[in-house]
Amino acid sequence: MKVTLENIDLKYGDTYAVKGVNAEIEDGHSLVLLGKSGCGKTSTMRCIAGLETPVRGRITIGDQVVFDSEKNINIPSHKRNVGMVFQSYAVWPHRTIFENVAFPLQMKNLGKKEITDRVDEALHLVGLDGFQKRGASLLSGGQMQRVALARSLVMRPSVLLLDEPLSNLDARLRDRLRIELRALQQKLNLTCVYVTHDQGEALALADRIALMQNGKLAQVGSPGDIYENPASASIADFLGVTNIFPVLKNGHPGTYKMAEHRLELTTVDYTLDGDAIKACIRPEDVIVSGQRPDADSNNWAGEVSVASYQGSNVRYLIELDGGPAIEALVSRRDGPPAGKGNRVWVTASPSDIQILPAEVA
Amino acid sequence: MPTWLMLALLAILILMPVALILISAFSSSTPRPGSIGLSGLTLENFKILSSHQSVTALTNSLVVATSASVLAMFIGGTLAFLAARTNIWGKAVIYFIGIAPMFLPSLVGALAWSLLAGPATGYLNLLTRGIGLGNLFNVYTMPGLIFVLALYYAPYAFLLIHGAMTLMNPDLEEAASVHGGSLGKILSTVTFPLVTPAILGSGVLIFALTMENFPVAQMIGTPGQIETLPTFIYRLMNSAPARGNEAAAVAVVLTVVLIAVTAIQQRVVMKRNFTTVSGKGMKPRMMDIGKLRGVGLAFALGYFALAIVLPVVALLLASLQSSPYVSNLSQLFGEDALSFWSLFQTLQSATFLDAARNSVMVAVCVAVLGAALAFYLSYIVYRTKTPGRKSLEFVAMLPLAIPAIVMGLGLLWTWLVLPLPVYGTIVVLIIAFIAIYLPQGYRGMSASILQVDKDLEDSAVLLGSTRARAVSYVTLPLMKTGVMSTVLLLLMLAMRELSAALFLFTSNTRLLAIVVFDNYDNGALRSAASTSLLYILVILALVVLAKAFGARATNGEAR
Repeated sequence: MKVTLENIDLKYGDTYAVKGVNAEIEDGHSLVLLGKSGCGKTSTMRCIAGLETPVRGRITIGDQVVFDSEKNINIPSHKRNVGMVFQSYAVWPHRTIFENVAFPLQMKNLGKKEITDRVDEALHLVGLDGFQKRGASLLSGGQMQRVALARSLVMRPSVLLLDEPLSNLDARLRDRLRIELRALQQKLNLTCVYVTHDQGEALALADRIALMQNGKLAQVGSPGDIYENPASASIADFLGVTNIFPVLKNGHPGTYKMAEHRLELTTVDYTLDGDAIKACIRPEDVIVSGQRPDADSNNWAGEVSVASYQGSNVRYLIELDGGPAIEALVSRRDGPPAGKGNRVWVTASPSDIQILPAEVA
Repeated sequence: MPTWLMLALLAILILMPVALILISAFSSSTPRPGSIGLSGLTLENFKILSSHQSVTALTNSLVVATSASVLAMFIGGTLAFLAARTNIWGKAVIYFIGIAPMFLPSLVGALAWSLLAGPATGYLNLLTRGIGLGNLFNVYTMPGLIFVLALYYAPYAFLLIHGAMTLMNPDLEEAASVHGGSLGKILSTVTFPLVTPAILGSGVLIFALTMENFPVAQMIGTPGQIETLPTFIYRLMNSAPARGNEAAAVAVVLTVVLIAVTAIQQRVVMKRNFTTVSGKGMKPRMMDIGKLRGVGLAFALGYFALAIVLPVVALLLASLQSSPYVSNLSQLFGEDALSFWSLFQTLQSATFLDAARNSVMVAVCVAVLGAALAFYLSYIVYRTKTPGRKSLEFVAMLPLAIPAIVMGLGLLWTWLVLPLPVYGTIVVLIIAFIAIYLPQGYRGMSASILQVDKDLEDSAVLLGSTRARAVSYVTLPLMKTGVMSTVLLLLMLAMRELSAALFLFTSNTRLLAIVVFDNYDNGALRSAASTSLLYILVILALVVLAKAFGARATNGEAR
């Protein structure tokens, strides 16, 4: 079902954990709350679940207002029909898997037959057929995750909340479950809210991403939007842009000067001015070559100080002459890797250099 | 139950007794039915503090508590190190030796030691006299008092230090070893510094416990004319007419000392809380102490003999000997010198049976109700965001800093003043013990509730269950061991308590501890000894029963 958050403020003591958050999640869509730890993303999710009580705002699930500070509405958690997969999974270790998954149906006082059928169906969905009788304390991390998911799915929730669902799993399992989760969400047409600090996970799971900083929404958009056009240098930094340099306008139209070095950058975008602006260049957009390239701008010489072979790519750290160190990610197809101490030329297309404010205003 | 109701409950249980003590200390009359005793403020009562008696009592208390805690820490710490970290033989036995004296109330220990080492008639003196050495022992002295206290408080040091030593992450020591540290260096630079908080914490705890200890001071100190603050308060209350206001003034001083000490303890524990516990399964390193194993074992067995074996033998002899007066050990081996007559006599006496029934009833009620209250309190503090929950915690922990004998006095006045007909019944004893052991119950419960991830309960609520149902389906079952251990701890403490009951019992509501104490006070040593033996058996039976229900005997600490 559609979920709407309007002007949500949440306070812990005197400090705002969440401030003025507005968000809308279409029926069957997924929203990922993305941000560093402490940014308010989990608190926002817990407000939807009813585990935290905001001081202000309104939350609507489907047609039902579940929280409204002005009208004094606050539906308790157990009546919101919200599913939640906790970061710790919260699978009850003293119960069997059947007991865990059957719990929400027992709470609804359904008949035995229906409970058994629906538990079987939910376990089938998450690939745990035949695990009913097992004790929950004997499961692996990935299996616990699946039980927690089945336990929420079985109640046919209006909205499913997932708090860092993949963070406790090892890298390969994480990649596989990421795809499974996305497929399941689309197949069941589930409205989902995820919380994560992992940008890769966010991009893979989201219809829309809401990026949070300091309790506020800093930027909301599709994964493509956010990745291609971050609203600030700190968001770009969070999304894995490692080359971020403070710059100043230097008088020549179309170029900026590095604030701490004498290098110049030619850019396409030439509107921003001020003393808190930064140039952001993705490492994969940095081109490294052995000879001086024939580009007329953004041509810098430098020396490789670190070369780290990563299989499909090589990651370089290059000290630019009279400039900063710049990171480059080069595909292994582009020739044999350069070694430490090699002299190289570095260039970046003007369209790949984004000039962004340091923070969202 | 809303929070304000809980606050009201704690106010009656804890704040009101404290307030009445304070009021009495500054007033010229004591509380009685219909009056809280506030008849004119005065500082007159505090004059007693400058008297020679109070100064001596305070000095004695400080000397006894300091020396006894140092000795207890040495005994407990050594045993803990042996049991937790060395390759000594029979570690399980060492562990048992470390905690066993906990099951012997210090009251009984004091009685046994006065039988063993009383100046003329103690069994040890009979022995040395028999082999021509004359009377060597006199427990009714300052060193005697310190020795007996240290014997029975060493288990507290043992438990705390043993816990810290077993939870230590072996990586920390292995790191020192890999980087070239010898065994001695590892011990002095890594191991002992890491358990310092536990050692200091246990030291302060034992200081507070021995400072407020009444039974040992009364049974060992008083015959030797060594008065401590608790016995001084008792004497003031028992003089005719009772000097309640002055007793209250002395109580205030004793409490202030203990609050200061407890505050230091909290500081030490808070500030130096090294995290040595890691999530992965750990096996602490066992150190090869070579030939010292024999010395260690002898030390442990020696302690066991002094704390348990000799006292129990003395109690047995005293309850079996047919003649109350024995001036020579050989008399004990004569025909008909020993018989079970007295023991059976005691076992069948109405006094014993009533007291046993009262004790068990009080202990069971205190354990169950106290644990329930402590659970509810920990739940409010750790699982809700109720405003004022920190002040609830503060009030609940308050009795820790107030000597049991002082709390007993305050509770006496509270239930005299309150218009509820519980004074003189067994109910008032239950209420009193719940109040004084709330800190222990609360600590046990909150430690256990903190081990259960809150998500486990929240998920049940999200899945459609009410909060109460979620607690009973998820949280409580997962806390089972912790809950049962807290129940057992409270059961033990309530079974052993004497000081708080001193001012609250009546002839119909005597407890086993009271009967032993009265018998001793009246010089009926044989009866005191046989009651003590049966008392220990009742305690053991309760422990076995509680353990059968899944409790662990060594979780947490006493006062």
